[in-house]
Amino acid sequence: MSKTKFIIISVICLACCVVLATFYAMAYPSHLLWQEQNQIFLNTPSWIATYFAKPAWLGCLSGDWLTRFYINPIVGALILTLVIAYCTACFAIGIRRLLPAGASLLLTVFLAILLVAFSMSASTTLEFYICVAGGVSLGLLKIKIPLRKDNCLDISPVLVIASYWAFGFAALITSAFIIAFTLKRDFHNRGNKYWWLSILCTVSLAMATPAFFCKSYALPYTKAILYPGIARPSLPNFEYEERLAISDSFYRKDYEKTKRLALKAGSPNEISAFYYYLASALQDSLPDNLLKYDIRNLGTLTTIGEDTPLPVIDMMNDLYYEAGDMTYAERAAMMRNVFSPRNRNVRMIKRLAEINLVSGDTLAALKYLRILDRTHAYADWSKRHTPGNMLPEVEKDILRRRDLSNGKDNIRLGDNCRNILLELLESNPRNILALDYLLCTDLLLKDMDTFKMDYDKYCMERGAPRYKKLYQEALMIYLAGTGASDDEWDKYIVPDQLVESFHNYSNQRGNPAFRDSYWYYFDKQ
Amino acid sequence: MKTYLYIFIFAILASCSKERPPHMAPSADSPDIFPDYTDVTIPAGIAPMNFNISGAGQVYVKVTGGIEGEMESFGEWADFNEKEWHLLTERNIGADLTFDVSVKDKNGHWKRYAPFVMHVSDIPLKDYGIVYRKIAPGYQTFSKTGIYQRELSSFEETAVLEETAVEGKCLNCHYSNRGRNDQFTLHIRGKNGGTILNSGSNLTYLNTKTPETAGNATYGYWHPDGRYIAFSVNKIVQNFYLDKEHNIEPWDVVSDIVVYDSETNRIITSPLVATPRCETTPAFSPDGKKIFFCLADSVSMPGDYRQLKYSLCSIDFDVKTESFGTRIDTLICADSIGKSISLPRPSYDGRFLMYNMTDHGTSPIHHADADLWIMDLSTGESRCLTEVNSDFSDAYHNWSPGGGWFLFNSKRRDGMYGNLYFSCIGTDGKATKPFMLPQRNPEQYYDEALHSFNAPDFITDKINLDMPHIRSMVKNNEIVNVSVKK
Repeated sequence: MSKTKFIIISVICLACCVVLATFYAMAYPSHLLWQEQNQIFLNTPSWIATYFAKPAWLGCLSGDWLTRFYINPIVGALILTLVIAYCTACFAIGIRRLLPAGASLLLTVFLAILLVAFSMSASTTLEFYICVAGGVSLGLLKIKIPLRKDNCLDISPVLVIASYWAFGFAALITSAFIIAFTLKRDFHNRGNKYWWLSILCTVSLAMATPAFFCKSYALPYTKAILYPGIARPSLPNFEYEERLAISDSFYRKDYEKTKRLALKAGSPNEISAFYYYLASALQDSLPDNLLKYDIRNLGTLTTIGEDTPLPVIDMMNDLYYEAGDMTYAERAAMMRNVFSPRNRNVRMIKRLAEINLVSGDTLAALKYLRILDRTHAYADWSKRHTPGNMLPEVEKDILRRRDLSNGKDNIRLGDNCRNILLELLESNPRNILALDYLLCTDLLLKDMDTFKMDYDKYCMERGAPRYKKLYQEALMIYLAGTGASDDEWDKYIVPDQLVESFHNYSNQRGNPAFRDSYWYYFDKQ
Repeated sequence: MKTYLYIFIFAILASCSKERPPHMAPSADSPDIFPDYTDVTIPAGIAPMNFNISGAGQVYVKVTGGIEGEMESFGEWADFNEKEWHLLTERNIGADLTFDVSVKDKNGHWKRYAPFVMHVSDIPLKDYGIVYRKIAPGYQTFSKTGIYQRELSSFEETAVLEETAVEGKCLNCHYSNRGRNDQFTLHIRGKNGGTILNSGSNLTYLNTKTPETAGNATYGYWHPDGRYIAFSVNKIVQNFYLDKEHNIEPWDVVSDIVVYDSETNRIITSPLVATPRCETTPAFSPDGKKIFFCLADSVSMPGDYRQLKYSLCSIDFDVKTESFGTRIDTLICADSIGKSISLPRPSYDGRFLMYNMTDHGTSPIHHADADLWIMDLSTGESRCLTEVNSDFSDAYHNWSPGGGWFLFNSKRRDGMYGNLYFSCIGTDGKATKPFMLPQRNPEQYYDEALHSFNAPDFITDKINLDMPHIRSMVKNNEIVNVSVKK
């Protein structure tokens, strides 16, 4: 290759890397953060030792170790880009040894695109790439034992065992390279009549190594040979990125951003709607915003079980935690944890610590805090939340939540959210978030009798009427529908322009000019 | 070049050298060790009782045997050499081991603490190890669960069966015949679920649900002859508490007692133990002539959950006629004590019956008030095992086949995760202070673990389960239906 050609190719490769890293950092940051949140890495020997219980220990260990830096999307983008670039370079070197320049370039470009396509799925972890990189690297090596005179014994097939142990499924890639190199070499050196022996050894080792170790790894053979798992290529999923971004901004308590992202979402869905409403509720504006989103999902009609998708479990965890039901928040956090790789999800471990701090189970909270204390990114968070060392604002928040949480000693039949909200309000009638979710659920179901009953019980009877436009509009529907007396109207409705609007609407029901009102929703949607 | 080599060798040797504490008198303070192994009684040959000391930069421990021998440990925590430890405990059976602990803090200051002792019991614990299920506490989830075995004399833990081997299945409790590694049952839940039966000679996959019985075989206990297994057949429901303190309450919609005959593949029933009331957690007496079990009147659940209280009962069982006795004896009446009893477990020598007592319900691991109680079977007198109980749930006890020693699950460390503790009953009938299952680095292990040790039991030998065979049976649904003896 001429120097000019080399420089041109290097510049193109570098430009591709810059574009790719920029893409990950700018267009896919929430995917990277999701990877970081969906695992945990502890800086302890016993944690590292757990990686040896399964094949691909080096791929999984280094993958998880690097993934923790994804907490910074720019660093994450750089790591992922470099690993993909390394894989591509290794493939390019290997393929160039086998094919002519043109064909090898085409195949390398195809593989590079494939590697990038793998990364578009949120389920593709860095472990996968490290395993591929390790497998290809070992495939490029050649080990020989010198024999008499000029003869050498090629023992490269033993690399397959090492590759399986350290990189799992990538032993198949290592094998493929060893076989391809052997075949290629044989075509050049027709004198080696034992070339087939090398191929036979390689194939046998690739198949037999997982079979031999699958029992000690407690894996079925098919799973053992493909451990830790093969990624699937996909196109960029910007809809999922949007969802993750909304969830992340909520996690960072940036409720304005949550609402903004939800409102500008290219494809609004149940999850964006859920977080839009929950962020609104935390800003005391759920009734004000209930009709402002096209999709209406408060999460109050959702239950969770073993087949529930992970984002829905996350939603339920957030809803119950913010509403004050620590039992169900804990249940969702536990479920989310066990459905994560290695049964650990750092966001849920933080949440479990918070839940137990709120419920006053200090010993259990300390357990989770000790785990977080052994991480790279959350040790400070752990210290700030440790009883005795807690920051005043953290303590204040914990006490506020404790005041709102469910303290009744009883058991419930199921996870019917209405019951949960009622129980929370029985425990603490000042739980405005629970009250708004209860009333807004009634209104979305257009169950005016139940709404009136709940409003009476938790607002009027407690001398704390909640004068929100949405509730006033709904009460007008109820009062008009039941032919209530003037006294009743005076009792519930604050005289203002809304009454006049109601009369106007009554004369032109279904008029889209009133689409922001509950009256229109009640009649038309 | 040689100079560099010498420097390198010197650096290696220097890094390997252990600093001994200076000579100083012990203070009056006791070391704050985890786990709390002070004054515990241990069996000879147990795995090294390693411990951590909070905030310690370096720990030096000198262990001196009451009869003979001594050993030392240097490091970040007390980490004893396995061979030396075994030798020391074997040489000091019936005597004390004295632990002289010195700690260097982060500032480089040494402090020598008042010595503490561990007693080496003269009651041997000769079992190979223990078996347990590891699962996230309190929640029905099908993710990574597994049945594991742990050697008692070392830290070696191996999988008996992991969820990864039978994907998507929930692995339930393992019940062996007096700790035998070749006679046990193991439930697998989920699609194609059933009960693995290892009867000593072959492995069978059983469908224990029959048209005549209320549910699948759940809680089991082997007859000493190895042919019969007493099961309760349960339909279990879980409800959540409103407050976080209690968390979850599993209860039986229906539960009856049956005996399974592994030779004829039939179930033996009796109308006395298959009633609208709830009969559960059976256990054969050591002579096999009696079945202990728990019995509760049906109450309106979940509303009256506080009224669900189980009595401790027994019924005769005759292997010759393969029939239950004609009457139920109530050993402890729930109404009279206002409490609920669960998990009766007779010691294999027939001296004692250990059981759980809680305010209500049938699942003691979910009740912080769950305590272990013991009944002297010769007198019928019961007492609370205050020596071993804690403020948190203490449950899932089982006896060593060799006698004396028992293990149980306790949530005393954090109120959330059940860990394993061991104790033994001496000739005076008193239990020794329980000790936590030793680990290489206990603080790190127990801090990082997010599982409970569920349904633990002793095993006399290592279990070697043919996992591919089990996977094939489950995958291909090679299930054998159980019938009811007419």
